[in-house]
Amino acid sequence: MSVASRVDDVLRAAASLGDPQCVVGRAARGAAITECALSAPMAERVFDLATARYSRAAVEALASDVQMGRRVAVVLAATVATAPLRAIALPWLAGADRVAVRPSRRQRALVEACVQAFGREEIVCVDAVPAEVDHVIAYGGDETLAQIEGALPRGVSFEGRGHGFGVAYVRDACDEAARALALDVALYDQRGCLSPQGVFVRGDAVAFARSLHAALAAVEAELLRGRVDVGEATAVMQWQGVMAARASWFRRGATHAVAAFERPTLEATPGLRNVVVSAVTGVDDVRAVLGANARYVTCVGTDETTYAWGFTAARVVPLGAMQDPPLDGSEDPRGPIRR
Amino acid sequence: MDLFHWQRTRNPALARIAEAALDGATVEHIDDIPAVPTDVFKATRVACFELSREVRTFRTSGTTAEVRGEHAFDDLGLYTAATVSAARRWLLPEARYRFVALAAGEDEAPDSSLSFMLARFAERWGDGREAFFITSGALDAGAALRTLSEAAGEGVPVALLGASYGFVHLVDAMETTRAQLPAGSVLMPTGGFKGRSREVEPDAFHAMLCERFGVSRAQIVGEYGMTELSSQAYEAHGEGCAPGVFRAPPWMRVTAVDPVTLKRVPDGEVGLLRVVDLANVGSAVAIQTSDLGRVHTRGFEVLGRAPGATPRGCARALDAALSGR
Repeated sequence: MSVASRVDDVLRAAASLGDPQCVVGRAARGAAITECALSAPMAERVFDLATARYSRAAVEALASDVQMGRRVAVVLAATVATAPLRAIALPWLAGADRVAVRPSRRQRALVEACVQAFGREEIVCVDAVPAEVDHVIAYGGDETLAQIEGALPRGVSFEGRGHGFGVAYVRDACDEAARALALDVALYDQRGCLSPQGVFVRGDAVAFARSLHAALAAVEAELLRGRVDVGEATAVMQWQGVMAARASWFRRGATHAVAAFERPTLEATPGLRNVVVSAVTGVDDVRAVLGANARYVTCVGTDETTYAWGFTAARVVPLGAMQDPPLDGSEDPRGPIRR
Repeated sequence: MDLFHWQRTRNPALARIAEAALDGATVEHIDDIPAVPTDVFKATRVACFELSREVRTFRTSGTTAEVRGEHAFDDLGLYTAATVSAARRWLLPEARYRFVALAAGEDEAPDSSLSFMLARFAERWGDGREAFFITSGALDAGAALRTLSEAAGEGVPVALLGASYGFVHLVDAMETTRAQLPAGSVLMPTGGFKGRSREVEPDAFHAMLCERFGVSRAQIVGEYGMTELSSQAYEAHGEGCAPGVFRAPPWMRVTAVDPVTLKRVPDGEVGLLRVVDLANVGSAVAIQTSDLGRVHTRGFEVLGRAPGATPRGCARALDAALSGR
């Protein structure tokens, strides 16, 4: 099969998924709502955003022969709604003879829609990694990747792509920056590996937190937060209580919360539009507070110039563009684990 | 409401939580009092008094690697009065009991609110014999079973009390034997199994206790309490409540709230339990738990801890990264 034909397959799949009138486009949006807990407007928005990246030039740039003639299995963990398309497209564009995709048990319908979008019998959705496989690409947490790799028979090559998180650095705090960052936080309800979990602000963190709180409230109206289950809601409730007690400033909106610290800090968040803003004097403070965790940073949203981020392999993008990565970017800044 | 306003001026953590929650609004109703989530007790000091005035700090259970919640007290008089009063009404109506506490004694576990409570019970209702049967973390099942046997022989009612996992270990130690506890005996298992014993479903757990100790379900009195509170609720078998329905003393009010909005849900609907405990004078009067439950006109049910969050995305949890997992 020619490279051009594979590129056409990917472009056709992306077009189908991007079309809400198309059967698989509708199915994918439905699954994004039921399986990824996105609101309907959010599902619409993220499929529009993601499929728009699939230009012919961008897709052709991904083509290679590294999996030529090989049988590839893709093992997916829970993921954002638009990620399976790329996970399937990559080995197909790399010349795989066959691509078997094992979805997360909670996202079967989403992945089936993506597989159907390709419309090729060589790309299938499976319940388990087939016995006859040459190469496995797995997505997930470090422990999951180690388990999958450890269970593979000899002779099967492995590629593990771990999870990560995004951070934002705001050099010139202003309402415009807050509005841009609010979009980065809101898209995918902060569940994606590019989503900003920590926000570092040069100067007055509380003032910026107030602006971000207002901006997130404004985004709420347009991009409703999706369904939150009782476990998530409980985790959010506990986290918000702790932040309210510890932070210099804290406010909770209907579907978001912002905590501000007047010192550099990296705090765990439950996602779902819950953000910590901390004050720094510059990028060096960010580097110090990230420490060894810098290797997990997938994306930096910033108004700072890019040269300052040499300590991390993260993609550096303008604020407001954190969720709009180029197709050739890696999800895992550490690079895939290979054997 | 008065207690909340008093605490707000003395408790920095509560003051910050209240400021964030109220944002200038006033508290018009008891349901409006900002409740302190239990995790806050793990993250910061929740107290209305100076550190120097602390007389006791109770800590939540957990391994050494886990962060434990801390509830500090500058006076244990009210705690003792509240706990004894509620127990008299629902748990220990007889004048004397032979105590078999499946817990460590106060000397060994001075930071355990359960040990403190059981010690007060033993002081008030005990017959002076050794009451605690966990030493250095291990249950002395042989001694506990001998005490049960002696009490049965003497016809003295037994109060067999402690963590639920302790009951499982005791039953396992009994192998195939059964005990027949005297009339008036009570069993009070509390808390979950916390990975410290095999898990047993509630109905099977109660059936097992009835069968192995020769008691009726009405003699097994469930307790609902936690380190972050100063009062306890109990299954109120003697007041016409069905098994599994708890009643709180008049100074303790339990409601259920929507997990997302934290607004009170109508009676009968499942929500997260929120407890207003007037005996929590030195900390926070309103506590938001992670326990799911349902409130009825006659009491409330506890349906267990809310499940963990469902993974729905690929963000690496920062807490995992920060803890090196």
